[in-house]
Amino acid sequence: MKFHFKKIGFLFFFIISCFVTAQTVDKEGIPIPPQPPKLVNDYAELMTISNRENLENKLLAYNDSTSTQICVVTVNTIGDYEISDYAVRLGRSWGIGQKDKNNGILILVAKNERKVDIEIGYGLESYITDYDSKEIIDAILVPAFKQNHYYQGIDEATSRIIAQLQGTYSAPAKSKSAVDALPDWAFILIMTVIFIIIISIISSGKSTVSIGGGGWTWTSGGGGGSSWSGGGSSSSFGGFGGGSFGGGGSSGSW
Amino acid sequence: MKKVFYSLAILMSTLFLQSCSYNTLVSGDEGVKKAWADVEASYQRRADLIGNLVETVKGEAKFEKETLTAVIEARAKATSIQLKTDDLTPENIAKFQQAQSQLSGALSRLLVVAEQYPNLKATQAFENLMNELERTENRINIARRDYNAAVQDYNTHVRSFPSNLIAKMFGFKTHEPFKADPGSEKAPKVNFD
Repeated sequence: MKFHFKKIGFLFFFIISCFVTAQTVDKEGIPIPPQPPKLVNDYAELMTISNRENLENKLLAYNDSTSTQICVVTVNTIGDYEISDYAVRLGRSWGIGQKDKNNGILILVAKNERKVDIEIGYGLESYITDYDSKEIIDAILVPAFKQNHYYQGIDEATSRIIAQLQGTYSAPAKSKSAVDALPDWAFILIMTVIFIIIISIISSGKSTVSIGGGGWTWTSGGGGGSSWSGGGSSSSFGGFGGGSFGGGGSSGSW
Repeated sequence: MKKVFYSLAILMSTLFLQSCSYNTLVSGDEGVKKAWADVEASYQRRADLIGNLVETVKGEAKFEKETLTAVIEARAKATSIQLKTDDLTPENIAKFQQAQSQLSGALSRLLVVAEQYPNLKATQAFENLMNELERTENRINIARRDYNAAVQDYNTHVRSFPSNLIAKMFGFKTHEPFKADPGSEKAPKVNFD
């Protein structure tokens, strides 16, 4: 039994470490998608925690009702990239927007370069033209950023985008498949159990019966399952949908 | 009995492998064609914008006939070359690319000229056009990059074993990537800031 606790400790550590990820980059120098997925990724720390939560909740609600994903990313630096190039690479690598609709929008802020960029997914280019996004940058984002009002600027810009997109896309009707019908906590519980079983099979190589028992002891006795699902107010964001970008949008500097 | 079983298994697995390669080649080829369509569409978008730009500049800069004519001619030439996806030969792509870069050159000269007309620069219409042009060069770059990626992916399948056998059998040929424009890795700058 002692042996099992060791393994469980490792698993617990693994799950926790999923939440505490630092910003890491891929081989092109673009940040890897956040784990768990989030719509507001303030890597440059330009906003307060409550600002971020407000914005996340607003964008999450918009995503839930329309399937349109507006993602905000702030970084310290974009290196040698042009900001629009960096933004397209990031938007594509994360897959912002739905795959079949390409209805993602990325607002990227580069702190050191003092540049801001709005990328509009293929599917939204005809609703938000390059000129529209230029106007949002010139009239809302740049003036606000000049006074260090990052949250206010981004909040207003997203409101403007949402107003402009009214009635374009709507979220698909909830599918009735068994997996989707499960409440989140049940799904997480099942996944956790499967995960534990797999891990213990791999690590111990003993018969499945005794290992299954070990897994159940843990899930019913410990608070691990609930702490996972309670990881944050925004944990219900289902992830990015694989949308793509073609270069529409605008950029500016402050 | 065993022999029959083995030869059947080999035959089946070969067939399976080959149908896989065939399908990969077909979808790769389609991918290249789609990417090419995006390239043409983004160049067409630019040509349309240049048409608008010429009209806008005409009003303010009446005396720059020569530059304007050069742009109009280069534009006409560039838009006259439309490649069907079956004609994506190296020569045709080179021709397409040359016409487009001529247009880029004429456009840069026109923008230099426009710089000398403060009244023109100050108009909202001109400013919007500049922004759209800038983003369209962006779109062109992305479309070209996607096209080259699709070509590279497809060509790898055409050339590597065992799909190369299928490619030969069904006449799949390699596609031609874009070469970097001589002297300009980047799109012409249309920035007036």
